[in-house]
Amino acid sequence: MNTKTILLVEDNPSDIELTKRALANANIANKLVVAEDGQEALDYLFGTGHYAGRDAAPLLAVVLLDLKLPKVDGLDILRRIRANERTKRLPVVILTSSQEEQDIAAGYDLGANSYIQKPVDFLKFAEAIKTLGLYWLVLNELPHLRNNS
Amino acid sequence: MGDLMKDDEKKTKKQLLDELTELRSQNAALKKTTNGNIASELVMQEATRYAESIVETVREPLLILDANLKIISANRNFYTTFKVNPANTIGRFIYDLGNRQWDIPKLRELLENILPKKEVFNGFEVEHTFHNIGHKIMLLNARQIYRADINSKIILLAIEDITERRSIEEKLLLATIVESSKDAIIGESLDGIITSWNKGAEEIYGYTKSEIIGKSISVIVPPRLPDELTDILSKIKLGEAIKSYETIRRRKDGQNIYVSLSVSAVYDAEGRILGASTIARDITERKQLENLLKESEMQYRLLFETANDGIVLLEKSEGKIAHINPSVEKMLGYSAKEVIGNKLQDVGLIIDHGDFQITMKNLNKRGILRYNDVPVKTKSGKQIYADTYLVDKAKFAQCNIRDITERRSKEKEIRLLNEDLEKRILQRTAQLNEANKELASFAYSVSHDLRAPLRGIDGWSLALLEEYGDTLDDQGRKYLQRVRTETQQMGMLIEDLLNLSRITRIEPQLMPIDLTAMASSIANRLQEENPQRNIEFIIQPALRANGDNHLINIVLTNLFDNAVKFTGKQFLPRIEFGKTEVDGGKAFFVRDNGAGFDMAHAPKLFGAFQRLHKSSEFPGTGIGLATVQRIIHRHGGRIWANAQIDQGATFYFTL
Repeated sequence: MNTKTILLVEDNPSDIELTKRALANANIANKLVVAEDGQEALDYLFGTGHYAGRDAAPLLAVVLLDLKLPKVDGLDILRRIRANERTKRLPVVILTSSQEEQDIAAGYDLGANSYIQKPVDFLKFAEAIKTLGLYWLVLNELPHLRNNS
Repeated sequence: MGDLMKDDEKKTKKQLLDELTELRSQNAALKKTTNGNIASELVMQEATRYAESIVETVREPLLILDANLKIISANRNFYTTFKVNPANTIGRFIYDLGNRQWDIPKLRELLENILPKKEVFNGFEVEHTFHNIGHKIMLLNARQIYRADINSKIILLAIEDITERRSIEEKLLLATIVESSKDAIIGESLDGIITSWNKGAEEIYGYTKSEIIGKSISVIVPPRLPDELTDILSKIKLGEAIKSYETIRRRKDGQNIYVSLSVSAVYDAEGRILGASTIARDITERKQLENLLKESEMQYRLLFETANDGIVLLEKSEGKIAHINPSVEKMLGYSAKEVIGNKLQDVGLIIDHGDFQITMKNLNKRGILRYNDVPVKTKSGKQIYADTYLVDKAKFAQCNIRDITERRSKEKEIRLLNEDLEKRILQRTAQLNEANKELASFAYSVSHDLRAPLRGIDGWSLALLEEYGDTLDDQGRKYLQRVRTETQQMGMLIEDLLNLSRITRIEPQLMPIDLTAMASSIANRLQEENPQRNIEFIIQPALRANGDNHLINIVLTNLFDNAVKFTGKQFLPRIEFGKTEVDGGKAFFVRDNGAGFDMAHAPKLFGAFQRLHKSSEFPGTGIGLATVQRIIHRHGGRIWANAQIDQGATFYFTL
């Protein structure tokens, strides 16, 4: 039913594995691409670096974005996504352990679609992932990413 | 003739014949020598009788003079008025009358110069003092009549005595002057009884004429000056006058006024002293001005003598020193004698490098001239510094000198201290900022990095439980569950700590808060979260306060969470929120009927990580109430608690 890819931008291996597990447990079978630092995420999104030559506009369902990342931080990535004509309507959900109000505010200001705090209780996290998956992958009608092709 | 004949009959014929011969010869002689005289004498007698009859009918004193100014006739009024008798009058030269009393220059002028030319003269005023009757003012009407039959002039001289009329007129005039005078004019007898009192006196003293006439003059004398009256009256009795004597009098309303008195004796016609006449002028205003002036002069003198500042008075013309006060002597080491007549620069004080007159012009224009931080050499050669200023003091230019040497050195000291202090503050601020930054990044790290591994532990424990749970026995599963519980407990601890530090950093944004609504929504959430428990919430309506919405929410949430937690073992849990009177003030309260605590431990209640209950009984991080207290304190409020073991607890707070 769903061939769209989920991009997970996350540097913590434990979180990556547990997110994968949570998505699987929630029966979300979309392809999951993981970028472990900010630069990798940008390369994937805009077909540069390691991803050069790849279709520069992958069919993404949602970007799950951590804020604290090596090389380029999450808010910068969000800024670049919103600044690019092709990706500006891409749903971006910030997934982070930061409860700092300034992070939350900055995230929304830059156009994050959602902001989810990663709780310590993994069960709650899994529930959040499930809800998120349902919403963004099933209920939410995706915007047309390429409207001039 | 018959009588004559009878006498003749007694005489002899011879005698008769002799007499006849005699008469005849006499007659003949008369006829020869005085032919016209008899006729003229007859005419004269007739004229005299005529004149006399006129004269007697005139009421004023009247004289008839012949051409030689000899008195032909005078009427009765003349004699009575001027106290002379006919014997000494008729036939006399007018100037010789009454011992030459009538030899009056003005009368001479009238009779000898004016009348011969004009023949009629009316209303000629002559004033003269007669020895016997005193001073008289007379109006003379004169008329020169020419009698053709006797070929001679007579003069009618009517003398009207207007002395009395004049005196009445003068008295009237005087009375008018007295009445219209602004000065008080008071008549008094020698024993001090008031006999007259003019309008001016009414104005000045406030007593009406009718209420004061007959009273003693002492009524208007203040009680403390009684001898003054005696003195004045005794001088008057000696005929002495008192001029411009300044003293105090009391008005009817009790107010004392200053008056200037002129007192003189009043004499009767015989020259005896009857009483005194006082003219008083109200000089209160002038006196008050004088007193003010005196006072301000005295104050100035006092100031001059006692001022801490040096004061030099300079002559305006050349800037020569006229006076110096003791402070100048002390400050500069010169005595007044040494410097008077010198100039300021001679005592080591240079405030103007130019012409003193230019300085004076500037002073006149600006009223005050300041010279700050002026270096001054004292007599002993010591260098001091002074703030000086020049002010215009009418006669002098006043130069004030304030020794600021000590202040200057203190200021320098303070400046150095301040500079040092500022440097240290800058250093400390930088250190503090550094520390704050570190703290912030530490908090961020804790928030992010510390929680990630915890989530991992929890996540992998869950994965283990879910995927390999059936290969573990109950004990193993229980242990894994314990790992998760501990992990989550640590997660909560981190979160609470972060909240506490965040509250310290952010500034409360005050706005009106509906506390009733806030508490109700928290209560609803708690009821939803604890559906198995039947908690009774009693929340007072219409509770309002000013505070930071977010922070106060944390307060109520914590207090309600605690109340829910500590009523966990209560069969009928009840939680109340309201406002009440405590120790004369209003305070909000959250009350529960739960486990309570021993008041002996109350001081530990609000400390971070302080717990009064075992974790096994009531779990918690021990940070909630510390957070609550910090928020209340940041709002300028107070929080305290009242409890008893198993009797519930009440938390009071003010905002």
